[in-house]
Amino acid sequence: MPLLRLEGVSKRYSFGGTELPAVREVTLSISEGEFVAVWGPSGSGKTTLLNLIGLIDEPTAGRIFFRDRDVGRLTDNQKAEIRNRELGFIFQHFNLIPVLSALENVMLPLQIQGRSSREARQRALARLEQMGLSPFKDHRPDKLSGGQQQRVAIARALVTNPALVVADEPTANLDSKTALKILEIMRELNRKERTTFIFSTHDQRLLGRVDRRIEMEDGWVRSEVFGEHSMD
Amino acid sequence: MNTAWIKIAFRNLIKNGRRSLITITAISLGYAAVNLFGGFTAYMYAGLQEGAIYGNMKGHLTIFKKGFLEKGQLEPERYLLTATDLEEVQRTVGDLAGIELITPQLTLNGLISNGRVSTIFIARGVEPSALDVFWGHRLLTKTQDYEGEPLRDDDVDAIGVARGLARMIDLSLGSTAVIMTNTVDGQINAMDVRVVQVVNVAASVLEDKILVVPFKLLQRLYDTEGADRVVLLLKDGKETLPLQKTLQDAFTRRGLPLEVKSWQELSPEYRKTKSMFDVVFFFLFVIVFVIVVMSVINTMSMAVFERIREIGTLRSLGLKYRGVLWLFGVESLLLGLFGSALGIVLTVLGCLWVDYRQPLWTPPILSNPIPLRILYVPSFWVGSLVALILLCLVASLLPARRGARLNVVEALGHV
Repeated sequence: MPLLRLEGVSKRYSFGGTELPAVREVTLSISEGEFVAVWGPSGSGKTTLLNLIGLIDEPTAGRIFFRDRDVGRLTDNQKAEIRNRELGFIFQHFNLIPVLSALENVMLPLQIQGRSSREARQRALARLEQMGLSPFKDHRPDKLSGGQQQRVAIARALVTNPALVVADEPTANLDSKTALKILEIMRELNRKERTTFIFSTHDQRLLGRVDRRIEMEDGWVRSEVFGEHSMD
Repeated sequence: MNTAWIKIAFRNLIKNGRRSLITITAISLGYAAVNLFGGFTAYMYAGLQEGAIYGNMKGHLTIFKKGFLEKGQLEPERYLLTATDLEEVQRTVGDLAGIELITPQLTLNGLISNGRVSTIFIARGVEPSALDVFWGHRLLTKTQDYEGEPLRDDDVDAIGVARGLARMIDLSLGSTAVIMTNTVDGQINAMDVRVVQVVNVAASVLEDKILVVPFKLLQRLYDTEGADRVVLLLKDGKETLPLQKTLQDAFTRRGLPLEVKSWQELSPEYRKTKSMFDVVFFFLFVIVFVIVVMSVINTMSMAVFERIREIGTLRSLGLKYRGVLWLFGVESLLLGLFGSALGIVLTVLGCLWVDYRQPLWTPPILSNPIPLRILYVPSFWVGSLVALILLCLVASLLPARRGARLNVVEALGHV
C-alpha cells in the first residue's frame, strides 16, 4: 500500500477572472521510506504540488489518498490531525516562531498533540541533539544562522516521528555548502528511520542522492526518474 | 491549557511592549473608573440607607395600624395605635430574636409661635433615649446633630428646633415657644415648650419645618396614649425582609389589624436615587467597556495581521481552528489580567487618596456637607474583573476568527 497516492490531481488559481493552472492532472504514488525530489524551474508547480501533498491545499480536480484514505472527504480538523501526527513540514524560510527558543519550537508539534511539557521537552532535546544543536537549544531563531535555523526546522518536522516529511525548497535560502549538509541530514534520517521525504528544489546539484526525481514543467509532471545518481 | 500558548502570548506582549502597555493602560483606567464609581455608588446607597434607617429614624421595620398610610391623616383616631395595640406589639415583637430596639413614634403637623409670629412645623415625637441609639449608629452621614443639650425622657417640655426653623422665627437656645395642633379629637391644643436644641436636619427641604419632640410631650399635645407607629431597629439589617414576613404572619395569626413596612418601602427617595445611579452606572459601564473592547480588538487585529505567516506555520503543524482562537484568546486574556491588576492598584490608590483628603460635599437632598467616601467593594471588583476578562476574550474572537479562517497556503505566503 503506498503511503500517498494522487489520482489526476489538478489545481487552478483564479486571478481576476483568469484561470491559471498550477498543477495539471498529476497521478503518482509515493511509498514509505522513499526519498523523492520534485524539481523544475520557478513557476513549474512544485510548491503547489507539495502543498497538495501536505494537505494544506485542496485540488480543483482529482483525488488524494493518504494511507488509502481519500483526504477530500476529511474535515478541516481531521486534516489538521493528519498533518500533526503523520506529516512534517520544512519551509524555505524556516518559519520558526520568533518568540520561542529552538527547543520550544521543536516542542510545538508535540504540544499541539497535547503531550505533556516534560515528554515534549525530552523528545525535542533528543532531536536537537541529533541535529547537533544542543548548545543552541535556548537560542531564539534570530540568534541562529540560516543553516542552524533549518536544522531546528528539521528537528521540529521529525519530532513527532511522522511518516512523511514535506520540504518546500529547504535549501533555497542557504549557501551551497550548507545546502548539501542539510540534504545529507535529510538523507541520513531517511535511511536510518525510514522516514519518507519529498522535497522540492530547482537546484539540480541536489538531485544525485534521491530515490526518485519528479520533473515538473508548466504544472505537468514531465518525467519521473527512479534510482540514486551521483551528485556530480 | 497548553503552556506553549501562554509563553507565545506573553512573549508577544513583551515584544510589542509599547502597544501592549497602551492597551493595558486603557483597560486599567477603565477598570479603575468602573470600580471607583462603583465604590462611590455603594457609598451613596449605604449613605441613603443609613440616612433613612438611622438619620430619619425609620428603623428597619415600622408597624402601623392597617390603612394608616392611606387614611391616617383623615381619621387619626381610627388609625392610631392605642395603648392596648402598643402592648400587643410589644408582646409579639418580644418573642422574636434579633431586635435591637423597639420604640413608638408620633408625627404631627401644627403651628409654632414665638409670641409674635407663627409658622408650620412637622414634629417627630421620639423617645429621647431611642434618639441616641438611632443617631449613634451613623457612620457615613455623621454630622454634628445639634447644638445645645440632649433631650431627656424626664424633661418633657424641652424640644429641638431645626436650624432653619429657628432662624425663621428667631428662636435660640433657651427660648420659649408655643406649639399648637389639633388633638386626636379635633380640639385645638397648645403647649409651652423650651428650646434646648438647634438641630441640624439632614434633608434640606425639611430644614425650616422639623421639631424633635419627646414622645410623651407630643402624646400630651395630641391628647393620646397611643402612637402612630412603632419602629424596630434590627441587630442585622439583612434580616429585614425575613423578619418583616415573620412579624406580619404573627400579627395575622393573632388577628391584629397591623401592617409591617420595611425601610425601603417607606423611603421613595432611596429607591429613586438608587434607580438613577443604577442607570448612570450602566451607561458608564457600557462606555468604558466599549472603549476597552475597541482597544483590545485594535491590538489583537494588529497582532493577527503581523502574525499571519505564523498562523500558517502553526496550522500546517496541525493546529486546529480553535487552537488559533486560543492562541490569540490567551494573549487577550493576559492583556485583560494585566490591565485589571494595574486597575486594582489604581482603584486602591484612588480610594486611599479620597480617604486621605476626605473632601466634603453636599449631596442634592442634604443640607449639610458630609465627607465624600469611596467604599472598598471587593465583590464588585471581582464581578467587574470577570466581566472585563470575558469581554477581552470576546473582543479577541473577532480578529482571531479572521486569522483562523485564513487559507493556510495564503497565510504561509504572507509577507
